[in-house]
Amino acid sequence: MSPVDRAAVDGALAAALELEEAARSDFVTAVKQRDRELGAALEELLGFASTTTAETKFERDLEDLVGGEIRRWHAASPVALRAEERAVTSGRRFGAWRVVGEIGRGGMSVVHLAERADGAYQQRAALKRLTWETSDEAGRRRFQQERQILAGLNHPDIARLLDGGVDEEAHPFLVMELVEGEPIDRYCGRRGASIEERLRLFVRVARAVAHAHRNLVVHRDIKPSNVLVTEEGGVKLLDFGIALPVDPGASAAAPTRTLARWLTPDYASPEQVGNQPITTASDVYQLGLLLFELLAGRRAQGLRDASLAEVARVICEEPVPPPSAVADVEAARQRGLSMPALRRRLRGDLDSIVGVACRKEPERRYRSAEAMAEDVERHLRGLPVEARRHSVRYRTGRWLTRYRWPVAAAGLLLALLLAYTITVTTQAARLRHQIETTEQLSRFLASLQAEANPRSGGPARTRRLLEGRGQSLVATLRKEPAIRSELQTVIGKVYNALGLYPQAIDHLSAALATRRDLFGSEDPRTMATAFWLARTHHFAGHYVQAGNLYREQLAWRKRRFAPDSAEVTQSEDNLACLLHSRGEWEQAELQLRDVLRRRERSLGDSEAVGTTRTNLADLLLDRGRVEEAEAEYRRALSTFRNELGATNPVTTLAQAGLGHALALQGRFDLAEPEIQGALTVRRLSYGDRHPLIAESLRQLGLLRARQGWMAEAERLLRQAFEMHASLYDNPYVSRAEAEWASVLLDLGEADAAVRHASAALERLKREGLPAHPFGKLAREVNARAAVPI
Amino acid sequence: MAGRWETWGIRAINRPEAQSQQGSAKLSIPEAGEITLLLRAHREGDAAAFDRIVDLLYQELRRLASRRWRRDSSATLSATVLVHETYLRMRAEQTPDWQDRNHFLAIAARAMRRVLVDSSRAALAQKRGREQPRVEVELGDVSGAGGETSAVTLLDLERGLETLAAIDARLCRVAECRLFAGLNQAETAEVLGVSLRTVERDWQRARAWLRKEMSG
Repeated sequence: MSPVDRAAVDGALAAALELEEAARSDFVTAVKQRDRELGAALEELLGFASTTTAETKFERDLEDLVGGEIRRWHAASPVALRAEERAVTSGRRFGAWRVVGEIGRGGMSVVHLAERADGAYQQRAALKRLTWETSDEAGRRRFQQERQILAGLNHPDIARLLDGGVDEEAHPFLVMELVEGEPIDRYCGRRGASIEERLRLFVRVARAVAHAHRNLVVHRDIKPSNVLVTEEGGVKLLDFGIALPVDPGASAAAPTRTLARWLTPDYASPEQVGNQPITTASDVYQLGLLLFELLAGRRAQGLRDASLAEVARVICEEPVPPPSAVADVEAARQRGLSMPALRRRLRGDLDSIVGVACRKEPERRYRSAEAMAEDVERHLRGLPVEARRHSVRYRTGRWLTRYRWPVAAAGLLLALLLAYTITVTTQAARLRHQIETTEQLSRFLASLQAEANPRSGGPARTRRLLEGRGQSLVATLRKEPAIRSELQTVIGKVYNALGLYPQAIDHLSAALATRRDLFGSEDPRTMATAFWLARTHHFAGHYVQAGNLYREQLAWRKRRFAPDSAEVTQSEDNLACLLHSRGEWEQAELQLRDVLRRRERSLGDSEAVGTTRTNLADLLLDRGRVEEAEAEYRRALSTFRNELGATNPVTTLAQAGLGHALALQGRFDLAEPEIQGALTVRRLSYGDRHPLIAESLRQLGLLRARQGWMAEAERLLRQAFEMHASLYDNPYVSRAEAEWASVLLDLGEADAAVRHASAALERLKREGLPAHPFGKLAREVNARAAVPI
Repeated sequence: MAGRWETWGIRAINRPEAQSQQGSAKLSIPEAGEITLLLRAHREGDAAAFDRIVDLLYQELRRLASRRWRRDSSATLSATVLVHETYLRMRAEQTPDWQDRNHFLAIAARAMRRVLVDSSRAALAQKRGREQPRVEVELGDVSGAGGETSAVTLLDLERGLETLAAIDARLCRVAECRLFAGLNQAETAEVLGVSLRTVERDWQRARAWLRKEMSG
């Protein structure tokens, strides 16, 4: 086949792959009729493109092939390098030392067993020869300087530097104290060391690191294999090979720059990955990782299987989990505990100590290795640790600053935690319980934040979290009604954001009842919960309850805020939207225009104004005033983009509306990107099942219908209807069902069309809204279906 | 004395002026700014820059790979790991922006491909006399129609890639990114400046062609 032919076949292949599987064979037949050879080639290729399992296997095969080739390349590694390796063999002398064997190899060096060769005295040592040469004078000088610094580190727990130099091939070498021991993790594992024993060893390591820091040396590569424990139980810290001196007193002002080096991603600090200045704080981070591993029996940053493209992100962004959350049965057995006992043992102090050491921001970690050692010792002595005093506030703060969900829960959360801390009583037992619950609470909220990040699993996991830990926290708090109501309000809001209205209503109603009891109905806390309950009822289609709560809210706000304040106008906006939902459009428009005018005057160009404007545009669109709606959407969109950014879910309200308005005017190519763009953001924020997703599917379906792609339109509108129907019972379900019915009718499925149009009308009647304008389309469908073709 | 100074070790090899004056194993790395400049030139449409970067990376990849093996011969080796480590090292020297990263990886994928193909050809040439193990994988049931399997080598893959390049250069780039840099489809899309959907379709086509070419 010539390239030209191939290109033709490829073109046909591309076209065929666009088609649904079922339509492809028709396409192939059609091609064959025109050009038999082309058709045959296409058919063959489609055979190669079709079966998905074979494709996956094929991809794996190709990866194996490339991987195998790399290993072969290795086996035949360049001759020059092999010669270089052979160069250092037994008997070779390095200054006063003679090599007698090889101990091991590291990233930048080979370690040999050496002994004193000048007969001065008997001594064995580890000789570390670096793999690169220092051919220039400046390099040699720097090496000399470093040697001197390292030689100055006199600490029983740091392997001593005995000698060093540059060999005749310009490779530097260091001669270190020979340590007979095993890596700390293996030592602890083999001996089944208890948590206390592990902590004591760790304190020694941290103190040794602190000694180096006082001598202006940063280790930079602390990991289990660099911490040996001797048979006698002594600790030896190895390998300051990449250690760098720090400026006196310059830990923050003029920190040492990092250097290009091999990363050990499992033990890298965010600064190392981010190529940021390395200070003693980097060692503190690595000490935290080491402690984590000693406690939990697992690597804190288990990046072995992560794609390397992810490494930087994980190290810089993903919080190190609390050791208690990952410790497993095996770890417990090795530490002589049951699993629940181990988790209990780690929870609290030790989780906090690791958490503080492993904070992503260097300045928020322990200020020194010494401080970390002291905190661990405080824990060993049963004294309160520093880490815990900071971690609650820290985590809350972090949560508040990083939470990117469509739930504006920030103020509320802070209030929650403050309220909780304030209500702490002085009774010791109670105090303990309170602290634990606060910890749990903040951990729960922090995990909510982590889960809410769409990349880490998103809405589905958030939901599981709410149903699991959220629920059990609520149960734990049964004797703390004030706190429980706060927590249930938060949970209700998150459920609301997830589109899970029955659950949201359960929690919010319970919280509201508690608060009316405890604080009375005039209390802002009560009204905050009432506000969310009102909105949830509104979305869920419970218009009577929503109306009552909105009106109560408005009355209360009018007593406390100015008539044109954001608060009062928000309640008025809510009530106008409720009228829209109920089909009272005339009245709704009057009120929305009034609210919009007053908000513009008092609030200027703001998210609040954008929201009301979008609400108005939605109404105009329903009323068929498409061009007016388009103009309002455009203004709102520009407001949202300025205030919130393009990828905020709120922004999609105007974006999707604009797309829909454009579609209704036949401007399909402009409409499509807006509708699709909004859908993408919504999927990221809300997952696959949410009112706004349903709305996007509906808009896309109506666009397709207008473009004449009726089968696609039918599929989308059916999905939209089914999703709406699975979420609540309200007029929007009927609207979606009628729209679906209309397309069914266009496709010639008159029976189904009539069935669904009638169901839509029936639903409106059942909801007490028989005259709702959403019924108009359904009636039209029924009328059209009745006319014989 | 302990002023602010940098270590001798790695600096030394990274500096062009520190390259060994003797003839022994050259540990050269392209001068710091060079790659950055070339990447920029390439982004701005200088096609020749692409080849120059591939050349530079070719050297670098070979060097890195050998060193990596000496460090830990049991380590899991993959093209992805090598290419990314090259990037990490380069970045430490040059701090390109995030956009540059994927751009870099895409080009490094081409270099990786060339390194392996060259080495594979050299191995084949040396094969006379002493039998060297050939790297093959069994492509099970390539036709999707049942039965037959065939053993393929990297050079078969290379032929497939050349075919792809002749059909549509982008298909070839997509395959390189996926196979030699381990980029996922979204990353590939970003690198090539096309939509994810496009990459999905391209990759589907590329796979079909490769399976066909490699089975034939």
